[in-house]
Amino acid sequence: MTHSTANRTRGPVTGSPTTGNGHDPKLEIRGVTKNFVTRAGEVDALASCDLALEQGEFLTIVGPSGCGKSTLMMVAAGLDEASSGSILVDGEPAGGPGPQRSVVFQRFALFPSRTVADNICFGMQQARVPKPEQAERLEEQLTLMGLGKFRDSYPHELSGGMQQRVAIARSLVLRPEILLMDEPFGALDAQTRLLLQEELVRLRQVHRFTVLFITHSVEEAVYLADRVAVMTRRPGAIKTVIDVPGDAEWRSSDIETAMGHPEFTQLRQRVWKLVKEEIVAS
Amino acid sequence: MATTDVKAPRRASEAGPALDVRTRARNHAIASIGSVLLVWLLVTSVFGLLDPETLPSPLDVARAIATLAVDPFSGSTLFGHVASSVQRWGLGVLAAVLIGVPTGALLAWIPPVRAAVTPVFELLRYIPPFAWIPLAVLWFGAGLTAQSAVVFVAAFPPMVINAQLGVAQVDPLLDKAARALGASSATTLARVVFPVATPSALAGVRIGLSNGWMALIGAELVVGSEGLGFVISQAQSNGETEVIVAGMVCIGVLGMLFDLALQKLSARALRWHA
Repeated sequence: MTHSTANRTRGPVTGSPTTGNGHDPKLEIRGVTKNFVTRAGEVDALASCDLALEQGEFLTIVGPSGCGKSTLMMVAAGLDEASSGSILVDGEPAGGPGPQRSVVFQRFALFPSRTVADNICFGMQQARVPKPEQAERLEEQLTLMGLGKFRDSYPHELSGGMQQRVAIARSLVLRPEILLMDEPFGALDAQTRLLLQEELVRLRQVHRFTVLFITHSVEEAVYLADRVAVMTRRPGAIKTVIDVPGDAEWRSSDIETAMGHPEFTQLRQRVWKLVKEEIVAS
Repeated sequence: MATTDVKAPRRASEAGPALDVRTRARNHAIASIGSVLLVWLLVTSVFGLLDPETLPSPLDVARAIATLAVDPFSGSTLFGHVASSVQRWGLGVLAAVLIGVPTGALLAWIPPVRAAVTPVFELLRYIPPFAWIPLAVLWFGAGLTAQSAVVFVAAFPPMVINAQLGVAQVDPLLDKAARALGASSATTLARVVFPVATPSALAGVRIGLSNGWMALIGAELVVGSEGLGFVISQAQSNGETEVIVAGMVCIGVLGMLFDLALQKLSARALRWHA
């Protein structure tokens, strides 16, 4: 654990939290709060949340269920409005949803009336990408995600793992700068999940996108991340951000091997303890 | 890329068994309709349990249909009456589809419109189509328009309700996914929401078609001088039981054919549907 920011508990950030290199962060969540008005009265979902992701960084968020992780993600995507605070991309207000901040949902959200190929092309059609280029990028994704045989299948004909591959391809085909993943592997069985986690590590080496990734699995959070953010119970706020050393021995191995590594176990236990504090306290 | 979590494409692998299922269903249909005809034949022609004034034999009914097809009955041949019924029904249900389905979609998509329209709609919907006949006749005269209006009144509610249900039941996540991929509201509605709502909307159209057909025959029984409903009411006045049953058979067979045609069309349009 050589990184200076490891173990550091972040308080509320005032002003612009830079990422250490002095540049504007790629994605910044600044003072975001969210409250809903329900029949039972006002509910605070998010207390002030601050996070800044550097270009190419992979940040995972873990926290007790119901802490507002998904709400934070929807706000970051521009699909939900914050009650206060702002989302910045390259230092500019991000505005509404768009293909540069691509979202992958837990429940896949594939369009059931469209084939695999038509699902993948949907975003390119909206962006009016020229037809020949659409075809080229489609082929690239079909190959990359191993979906070649299923191009003319409909979503209901595919297994969950294949459906999520289509959803990921549908996002990646737009060459997003930022990928927002809301428990993308949460609805999958354990084996498929392992495969796709490794898939994602591989994809990240190809495209250097910036990733904000929500999960309730501490192992997953530690294995995939450059930094792990732990959220408090509701109203959710960022409790701690932990650095995962980039040069750790287990980083180059698959997840099962990594999990057997003492350093990984130590880190996982630390994150889990932080999450547990929030669950027990609530 | 491992393919261990892959299901084989469904269509190719099930083409064989699906055919068998269809053949079996057809055989069942032939057997059950055949049995009814046989019992009908036995109780009338063979054992004479029922006299022809109560229930004519299927042979007499077939003969009546053949006669009606060539000799005019109350002004036109069977084809003339069928054409007139089908025209009224067609106009009524066409109007119901064109107005009802978009209305339903609108009600689901725009909550304030739903709040304003639903109470009125719910009230009107409990007035049976037949209760509109007197007013329709006063407004439009005892002809095509009045009959079509009654068809419309009968076919409209299920089309609105099911279209509304179809749009309302579309997973909001699909809307989010479409917007995150850069789609506008209009595009999302047209290319994501409507296609997903189509099965439910088509189910409503199907109910509307049959409601409209039944309401039309009812309306023809009491008003007008053409159509299959008119034929059976005339035959009743003349005491021609075999013509009454002939008319009833035509009404049933035509209704069934419309439904089959719609189901064939839907199956083609909804290939993606599980």
